[in-house]
Amino acid sequence: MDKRAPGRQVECSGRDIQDLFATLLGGFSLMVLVSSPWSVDTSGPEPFYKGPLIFPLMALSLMVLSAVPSAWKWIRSPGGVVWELEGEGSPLKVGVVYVSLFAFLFGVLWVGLEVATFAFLLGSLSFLGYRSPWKLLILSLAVTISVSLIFKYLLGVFFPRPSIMRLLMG
Amino acid sequence: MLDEVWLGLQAAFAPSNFVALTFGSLVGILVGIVPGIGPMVGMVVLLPFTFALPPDVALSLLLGVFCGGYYGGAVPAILVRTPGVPSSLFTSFDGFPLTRRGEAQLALSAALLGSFGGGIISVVILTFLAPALAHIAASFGPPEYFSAGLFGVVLVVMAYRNQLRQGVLLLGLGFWLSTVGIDGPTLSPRYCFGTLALQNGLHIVPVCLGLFGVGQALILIEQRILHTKELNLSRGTLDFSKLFSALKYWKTLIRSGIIGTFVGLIPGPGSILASFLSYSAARRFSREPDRFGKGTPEGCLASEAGNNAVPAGAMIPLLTLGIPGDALSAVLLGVFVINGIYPGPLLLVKQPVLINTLYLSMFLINIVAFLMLAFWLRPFAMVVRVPNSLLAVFILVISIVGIYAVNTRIFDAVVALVMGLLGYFLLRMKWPLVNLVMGVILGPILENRLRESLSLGEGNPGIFFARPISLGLILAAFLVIVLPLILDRRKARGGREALQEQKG
Repeated sequence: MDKRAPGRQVECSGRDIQDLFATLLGGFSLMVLVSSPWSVDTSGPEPFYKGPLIFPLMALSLMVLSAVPSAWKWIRSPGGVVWELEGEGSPLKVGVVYVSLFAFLFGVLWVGLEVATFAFLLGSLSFLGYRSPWKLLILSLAVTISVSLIFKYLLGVFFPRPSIMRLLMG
Repeated sequence: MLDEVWLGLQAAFAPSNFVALTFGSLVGILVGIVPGIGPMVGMVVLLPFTFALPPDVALSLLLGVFCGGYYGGAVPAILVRTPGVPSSLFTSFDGFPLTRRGEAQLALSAALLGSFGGGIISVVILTFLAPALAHIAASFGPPEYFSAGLFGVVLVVMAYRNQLRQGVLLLGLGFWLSTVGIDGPTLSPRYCFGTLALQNGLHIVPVCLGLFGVGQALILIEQRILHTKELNLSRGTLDFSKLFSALKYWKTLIRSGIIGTFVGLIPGPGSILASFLSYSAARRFSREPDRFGKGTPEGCLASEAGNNAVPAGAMIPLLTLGIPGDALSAVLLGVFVINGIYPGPLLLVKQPVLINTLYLSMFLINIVAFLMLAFWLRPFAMVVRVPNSLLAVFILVISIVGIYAVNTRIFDAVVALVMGLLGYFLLRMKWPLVNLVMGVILGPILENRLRESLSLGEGNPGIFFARPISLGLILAAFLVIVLPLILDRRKARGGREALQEQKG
């Protein structure tokens, strides 16, 4: 039976995903390359070789050219695609931690560095399967205190007043 | 001259510099010991902290991580046959069999002696070779610099020639990312898409820290804990008497140190090739070549001397030509540029104290890293047991807060997160991420040299072929591209013919 029959999910090797990724990057660079005259202010000095466009055009052309073989291969390959990288399964854990990093980042603005750091550490470690109170609470607290001491007090980095405090205290 | 050396010595031994290089070495050993992290992650995580430091102290801190990482990499390679850094793979060939025979102390002594000797030999070569190369490079103009940069980039791309398309794609992406923001010479906004935040360009720190720090930390989340009970060291410190047994391989030590330094100064191949060549040479010249792979301290010593000589070797083209040989030295170049220091032949003339401080700091880093590992061997070895996902979460927190701390801009942290996702996918697909970093860091330098050269030639690209050094470098780059491809094709054809003969 033909494994590559149309409409059927075929086992997709890491190479196919690599070709897809290269094609996407190549497509993106082609889009940027075409729109370059409008994305770069070229009202500057003449002639062209002194201007701001020569190098990005070279870089983008390099990207497009190197993506062409992958795009050709990917377009020609029939069937569906199994979205797995090197057959290691879908990266669910990584996805959750990655999304919570955005929450952590904006949490720093809303609830402050210490609360956001502690909540992120507690949440992620618990999600990653750490159950012992020592690792969950003590380590999270220790890292939170260290981060606060190093960045706020040792390096004197400015962190904005948490939005929640502004809301509560006016 | 002596005044400058004296001032360099004072700066190297200044408390701030000494603390920085010691801390850097400590971090380097730790990230080197944990398989999967490596010195690159250590360097990029510490990158935001370097903004608060003077350039010599900042460089000492990062050099400590750079060199310390290779020291640490040997420990898990010998004890649990899991190289902490990829180049320690060859150390595990002989180190682990020695450990199984109950001679872990002998293997570790040989590896540490190799690391120390390789490091010191390479710094000595750096001290003498850098001024000589800078003397030649002093006659360079913009076309020669551009051609040298191009040659370096070609070497790096061709080092991953089995992934040529991916490598070129990433190099192009790096070059393009480096052009985002206001163009320095013309003040024209490029690819800002109407966003004010993009006008400052994409800072090196969030890009590098995102790609390597966040990307690698996300990879670590997926890795399992290294379950092992084989940390059999017999004592908490290094058994110094074993060092004398390893000292009988002094010829191998010197040879490997020299090989490592010269491999290090070629952009592209990096520490794995240095380690491999040193190991192969040691086996070829050994009196007992049959013992290699079965457990000989000479193998551990050769491999470690080779890879520890790479950092100082990589500093030679970096300091004299401004060309980084790998991603680690590209980050160092970034630190130079951030501090307004542009490596090149004039650097050795204009900043002799800084250069002497760097040389002496590298000496000290080797001594400090050696002593740290020798005296705290057991605690360091226990680090192997720390779960990777635990480390990953801590790395993520420090990276994100560190990136924000550089310019107190949330935008930089968002850039790092986007780059982190890109880095994660690229690392999982095993694409040569080094090309992307090289593109981002070398992009502005190559662009400026290109525009200067074309202005000199009034728009005629023939200027690159009209000057002998530039022409020679372009021809060399052409050969580096063409020769391996011809050889590969010939090899493949030979293989096909042999297969057909077999079938026939």
